[in-house]
Amino acid sequence: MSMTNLFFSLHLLVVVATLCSFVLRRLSLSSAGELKLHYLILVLALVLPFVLLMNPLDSSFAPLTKSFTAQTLREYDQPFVLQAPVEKIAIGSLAPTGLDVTWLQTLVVGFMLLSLLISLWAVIKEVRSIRHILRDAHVLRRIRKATIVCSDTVSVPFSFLTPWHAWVVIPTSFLTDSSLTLISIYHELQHHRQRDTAWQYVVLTLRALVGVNPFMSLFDKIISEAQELKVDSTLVDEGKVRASDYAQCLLDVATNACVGQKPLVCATGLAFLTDRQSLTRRIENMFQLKKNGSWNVGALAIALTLFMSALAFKTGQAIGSPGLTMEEAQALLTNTPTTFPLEMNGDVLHQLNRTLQTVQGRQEMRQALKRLERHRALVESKIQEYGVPQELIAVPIVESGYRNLAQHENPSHGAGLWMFIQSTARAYGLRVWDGVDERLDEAKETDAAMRLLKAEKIRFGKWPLSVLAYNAGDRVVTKGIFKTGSRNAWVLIRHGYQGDKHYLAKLTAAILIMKNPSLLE
Amino acid sequence: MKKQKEERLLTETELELMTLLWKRGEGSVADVIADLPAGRELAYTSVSTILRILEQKEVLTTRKEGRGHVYIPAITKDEYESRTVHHMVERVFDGTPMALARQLLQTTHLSKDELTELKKMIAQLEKRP
Repeated sequence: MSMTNLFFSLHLLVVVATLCSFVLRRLSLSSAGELKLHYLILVLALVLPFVLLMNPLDSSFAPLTKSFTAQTLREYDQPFVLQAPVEKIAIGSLAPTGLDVTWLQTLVVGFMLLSLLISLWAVIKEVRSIRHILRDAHVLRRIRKATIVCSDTVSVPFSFLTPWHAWVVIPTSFLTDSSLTLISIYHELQHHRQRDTAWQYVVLTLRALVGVNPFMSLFDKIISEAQELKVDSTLVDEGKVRASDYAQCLLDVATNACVGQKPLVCATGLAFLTDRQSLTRRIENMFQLKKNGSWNVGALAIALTLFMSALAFKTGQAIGSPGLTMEEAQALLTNTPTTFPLEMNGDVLHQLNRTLQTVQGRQEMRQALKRLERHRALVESKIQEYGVPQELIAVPIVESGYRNLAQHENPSHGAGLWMFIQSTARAYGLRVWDGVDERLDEAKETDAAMRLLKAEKIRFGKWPLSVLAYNAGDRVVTKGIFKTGSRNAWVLIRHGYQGDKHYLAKLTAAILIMKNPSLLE
Repeated sequence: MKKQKEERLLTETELELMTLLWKRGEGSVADVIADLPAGRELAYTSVSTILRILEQKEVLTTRKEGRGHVYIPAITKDEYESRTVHHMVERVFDGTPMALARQLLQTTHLSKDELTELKKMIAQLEKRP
């Protein structure tokens, strides 16, 4: 499933990258600034999907921000006031999209393989072509790690980079015109100085991943144009070449290019862009005064990074797997024996699918269940000791994802596996002072949680109400029972008597998934 | 670079300079420039570079003379013509000399003297064992 989202994310980012680059071309930017922004977009489009693949963000089971949880018996007689608004921070998971991706996954793998193969083949062909050219070429000059050669078999100059050397290839026919030769050499060496030839490999990598995407060719062309414009403006602005001579050279080379060789993907070339529009733009650019650009490149860079990151993040989990229907969920419930009474309703179904339909949700649940195993022996022993339903081993999945979390900066937040707040922890005999926090002692906090759940069960007579009170506080539950006249936890929830929204639904979903781990496959 | 293959032909400009050297026998860069037809403008550096490339192609050899070099053809004009014909037969006429001969006779107009000479050459070849 991750491959599907990676594929989708890469392709969408290439489209967006192309559009952003297209817009940048229209802005009044310096050629240097424009090229840097194009490179930034290129890197973002290539790297972001992989970064998100390797670092999935917490979503469904991020610790909920709670104002209070597990109210103490001691506070029972105080006026019922919520100490702080209950806020939830849930980052990441989208609502389930309901797309059926079984066939899509096969298609995705096929497309990616095809792209890779096509690109690999193109590179192999070009390496052979370049080797053939170099074999019959003649060295004109060696400058440190760069070699300038001339070849009878090429009709336009080009340059390329190997790990050990920089190459400039000039057609032998250019040698009769010293001005043309000189300009060509300056131009190609400038590509090396600007590291354009190195960036070609980054373009090549992206192309290998998304080669079948038609926007990739356009994106490549925009980058190539920006590279050429930067070279042109640098040579003219630094006075190395006169604009008129340069323009003439460009036209002569373009004429050769029309009847000559195909551009190489591994190389940059003086006249690889031979269409009229690009040529016109380049020649016009040469005769314009040096542009400083009226846009702040740094601000644009930040804006682009934020925009593309947000997009990558959203698309990184846009595609999920088929969720459960209500009938399927009902059947699942019926076939799952539990001692804790469970109910299937729209809220529970939503929470189930929220986990099952998103990449992040499934991954987080898998990790939580994995962490549960490390604590299973301890928690089950306490469950048995206090006679609590076995299924409530799932409570820390909802509370902390079975992470032993330290106290947050906000003192009203919980800590530990069971997320006790300070006051409740102290009421149940846990030390939370003088730098000691026994909430992080898993055995002690688990013991306290069992005692609390048991106490609430004694008070309210039903386990669902006990769990509701564990989260919302017994004052909320007491008021709810009084106002609604019902002892059904779901009735209270529907009337707004709850702590964190969807808590019982999340717990129900967690129990069902815990007992049916094949749902995560 | 690797050794140039024998069947590589010269470019137009290279052939132009070689023709001048074949006529002259040998010469320096300045000599070659002096022999260029009026109106044919080639920079000193361009001619120098091309002659150096011809040396790399092993079509010329050099001899140091004073502060410069004198370039001497390493192959004769006849040898180059032979190479060109061989190249054309192999590359254009699919290795069939007869196709080249047929094309030559069909497309070019040979005078009576040339035809007579051609017949003499064929007769001499037929006498060989």
